[in-house]
Amino acid sequence: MASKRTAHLFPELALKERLLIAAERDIALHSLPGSRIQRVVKDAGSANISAIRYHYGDMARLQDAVFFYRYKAINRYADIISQRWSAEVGEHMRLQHYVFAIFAPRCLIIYHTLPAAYYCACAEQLEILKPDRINSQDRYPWFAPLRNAFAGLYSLLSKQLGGDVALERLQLVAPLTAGMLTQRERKLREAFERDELNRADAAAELSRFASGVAESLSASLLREHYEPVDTDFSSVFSDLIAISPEWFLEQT
Amino acid sequence: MNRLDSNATAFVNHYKHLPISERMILAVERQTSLFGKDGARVAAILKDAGTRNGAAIQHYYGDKDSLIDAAFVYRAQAFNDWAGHFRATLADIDLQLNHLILGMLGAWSYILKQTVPYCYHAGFLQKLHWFSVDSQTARNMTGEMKAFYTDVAVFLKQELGETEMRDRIELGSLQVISAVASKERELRDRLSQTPGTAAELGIEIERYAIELSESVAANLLRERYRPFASDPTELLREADQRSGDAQWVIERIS
Repeated sequence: MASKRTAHLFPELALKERLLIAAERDIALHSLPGSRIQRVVKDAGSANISAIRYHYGDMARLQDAVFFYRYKAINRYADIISQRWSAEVGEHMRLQHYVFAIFAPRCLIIYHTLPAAYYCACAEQLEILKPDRINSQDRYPWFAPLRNAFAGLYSLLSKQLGGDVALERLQLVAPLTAGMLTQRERKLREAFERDELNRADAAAELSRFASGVAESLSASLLREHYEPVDTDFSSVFSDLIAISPEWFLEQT
Repeated sequence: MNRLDSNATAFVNHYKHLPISERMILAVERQTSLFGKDGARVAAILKDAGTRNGAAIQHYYGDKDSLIDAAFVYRAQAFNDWAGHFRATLADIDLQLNHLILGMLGAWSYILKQTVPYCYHAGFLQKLHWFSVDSQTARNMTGEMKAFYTDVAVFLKQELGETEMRDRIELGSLQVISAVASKERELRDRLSQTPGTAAELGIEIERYAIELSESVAANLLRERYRPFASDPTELLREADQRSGDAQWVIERIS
């Protein structure tokens, strides 16, 4: 892999934070069981594996920290989107709006982490192997927006199709969201590394992806009841892209 | 990780009647499916294959990459044979996009039924990124599979035009490969807890393939989507019957 080391990409960050970024990348590239402490520490620019113990205690705590590092920003984007929907569409929320609120935040994370966009691949690993990480309801108060978007989607779908059908159709679609994002992230990252893509292209492509997914997954879920919406998702996306994310580091 | 995925001894015992060259293919399929191409370690592959001989991979396949290629070839023939039989059942019916998608998903469900509970093939393909449209889909699709894929593209192009067709196929194919890989994983998780009977599993997998075909057809066609005009379960079963037990292909260098 020709990409630069985390230590070179983020010389201004403290080692504690670089360890998170390096771990995210290592898990993304080598899977969770294939990830190696030595490689993470080296990539973060330290010679000493006890740095992980010093800053995080153990690997499990480090993995939690990796997951939450970007999760607060995701929820903030989801929050902004849902506020915008309440102002613009109010009572006329459609499935597309919820799907967009679920997908667009992570697309924005991909954009803001390029060239080191590894979050979706890493989170997919962490979610599959430890799903209770997000389900621990009261871990942080800022979990709400994304969870509300999922809940809103489900309640609207059951209203239209009945609870059983809604659940069955969601099971065909919901487990895929992480995988779809991972593949898109990887494609953009690699094109970016090969200099085939600049930031503006990446923004355009992610915007197209988030808007396309809002329609296509809604169609998958609603099938014969599907109707397109006239919301301009791409303009919402370009407003959001101007907002820089803030990453979350737990104080220990 | 569930018991099926983590217990190497049970995996080795399950396949102990097979020759070592075949067990290595099954092992690399499983390790790649679980950990990705880079995460699949040679030591773990050898352990799953039930051998301590580190030179075995080199002897039979040359290197790890060639072994991975061999694992693809191993199932491709059965995949295509099934798809060919399914194609024959479509001769007298009113063809919908849903049927063409079921041609691909049905072949996958056939492989799944043949390999359960150690079903890793879709995960293997997903981890190698071999069926995403972005990485030259055509390269790794062969025979009937490729024919079904091309038919879907032609159908959509007629309905929607070239540009729209490309955009939607890209999103649709992301859904397909992620869905089948996650279903495999879900089945393994569940079968680790409570083993199901082959008949029950067969029905569940058939139903999943059909439902997913509907879901993908709706994903692609959106407002032009129509559900299956008649229940395609019998078509799947007929293709299964004509295919019989899968014949896997071992292509080794020595």
